[in-house]
Amino acid sequence: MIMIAALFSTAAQAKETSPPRIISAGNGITEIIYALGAGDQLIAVDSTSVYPAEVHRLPKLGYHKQLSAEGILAMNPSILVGTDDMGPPATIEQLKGAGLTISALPLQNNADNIQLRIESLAKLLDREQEGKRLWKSVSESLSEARAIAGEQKKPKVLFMLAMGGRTPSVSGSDTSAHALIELAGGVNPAAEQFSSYKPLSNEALLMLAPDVVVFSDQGKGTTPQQLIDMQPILKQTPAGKSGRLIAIDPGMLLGGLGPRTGELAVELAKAFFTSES
Amino acid sequence: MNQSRKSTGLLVGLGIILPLTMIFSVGTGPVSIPAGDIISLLLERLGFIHSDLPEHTRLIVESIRLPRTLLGVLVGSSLAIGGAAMQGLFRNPLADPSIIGVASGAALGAAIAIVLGGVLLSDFPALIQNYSVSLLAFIGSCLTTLVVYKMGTTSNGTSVATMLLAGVAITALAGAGLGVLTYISDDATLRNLTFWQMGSIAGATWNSVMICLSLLAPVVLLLCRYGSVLNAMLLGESEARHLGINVQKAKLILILLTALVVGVSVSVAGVIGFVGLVVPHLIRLMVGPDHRVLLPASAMLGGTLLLLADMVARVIVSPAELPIGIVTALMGAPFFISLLWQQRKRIA
Repeated sequence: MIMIAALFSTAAQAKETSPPRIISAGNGITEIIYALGAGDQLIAVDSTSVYPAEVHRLPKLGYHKQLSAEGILAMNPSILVGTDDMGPPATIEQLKGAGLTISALPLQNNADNIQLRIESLAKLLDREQEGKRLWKSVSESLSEARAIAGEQKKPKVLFMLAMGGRTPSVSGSDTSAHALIELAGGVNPAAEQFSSYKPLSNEALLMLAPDVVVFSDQGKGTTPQQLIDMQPILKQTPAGKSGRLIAIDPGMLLGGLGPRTGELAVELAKAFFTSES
Repeated sequence: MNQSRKSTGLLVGLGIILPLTMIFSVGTGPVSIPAGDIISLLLERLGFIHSDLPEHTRLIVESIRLPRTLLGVLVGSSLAIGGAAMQGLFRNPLADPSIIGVASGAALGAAIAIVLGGVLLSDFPALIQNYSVSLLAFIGSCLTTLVVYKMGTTSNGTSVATMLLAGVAITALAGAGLGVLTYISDDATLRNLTFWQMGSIAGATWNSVMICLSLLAPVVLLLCRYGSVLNAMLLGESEARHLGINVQKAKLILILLTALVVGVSVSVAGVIGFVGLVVPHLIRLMVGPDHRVLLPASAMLGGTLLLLADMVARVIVSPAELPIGIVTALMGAPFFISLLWQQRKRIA
């Protein structure tokens, strides 16, 4: 009963006029908000939001699937932006009940989704010009990456995530790393085998025979040599023999593809299509 | 005589502290609300006065904190009384509600829902999907309890010792199942699973409170009536039989009721350790092992302590929130250790 009463009550919180106080729950979302120049309107972010560096000045709300309704309301936000992954559902229900505007953007691992998220956020924050400019620059980079690849034979590329000490996990289908490999003109042989991330056995790795290995860690600055030490069989793959192990910034793939994906795709395309392949 | 006065004093004291803690709990959180406001809001709801509190306060109290507080009391008292009943039944101070396999079965059920839910339940109605974790946790706890009870029961009655071993075995089996599920889940699912195993009452809604209230409150009250039976069982089963107690029936009922309260608690709040183990000990240290006092006092103290732990969970890392299971262990364990240290002569 009381919940129903709450739902029908008039606008719950006196909405502050300008500027809006935004809470972002999702690293990809936070990054786009900064890229649109609206970073100063953010009042708190979730714990996965780690880029750009100034984001660390803001209070952290914890993991984006484990949000606390009260903690969010106490910040007195005017809007909560996140992805479909935001949760838990009970918290989202409570926040809706309290009259908070919530915008959950879909998260898929493809280029169209970058455009969708940039444009939705631009509209939401009333920065449609900036949104258009941002998407234009990203899509130009993506075209450039395609141009570099041209009609050449696509190299087999694996993405490995080093998690400290253990066997690195390899990205299958349905991952942002997989989408990135394809945008840069490579093909991900692991995608036919499994989705999300899995550590691979030595034999499986030999069978997949990657021409290039792109890898990342959790910001510890793992070198190609350290990656080989974690899984020595890498040395026996074409990528290991020709020394084509490329490190990328770990923040690039967390929370989906985003504003920096275009530049990264160009960089990787250049690396994929050097004289080797 | 002195003993009974002490017991009455304890029950009255806990009876006063619990409602005070509840008011305090409704007032505590990232948004601070004075106690006066809460009381006037409650009075207004009951139709005594008209207050002009801001809508914001009203929403936080009514849609978030009040259900959460009520759920905390229900879950805390259920876990504590379940612990007291199991320690009495098994005549073992180390027993806690999970000894009959309730917690491990619930954890396995919840894990199945979290990891495979999207695949298994896609044809079910949305309502079932939304509550799938709770439902499967509850089913899991019922099934494991049933298996443990069956394993311990022959035509001669139920052997508590066999049940204890069966509980260990079932817990190990459920643990293996959890291991398999953990292995096949991806990162995001794994995180959900981990969080669930740390427990939380943050997701309290009026719906879940009403479901719990209707299931837990009557059972907790019913359990309180088994004080004399448990006192007799402490002497040993044959002695209890001589006192005219139907021991076999009492065992069955105690196990069923405990499985019910603990199963429901775990299914709404996840795994919250320590409460069921420690609270009955605290009461015993204060007033001795008389179950007629121990059961109701454990229920009240359990509710109080869980609320206190939840308050800490809410404010300590604000605007984020800690899972409550971490808090109960972090606060409870050192306190319990120091208590044991002081009382070690008395306990032995």
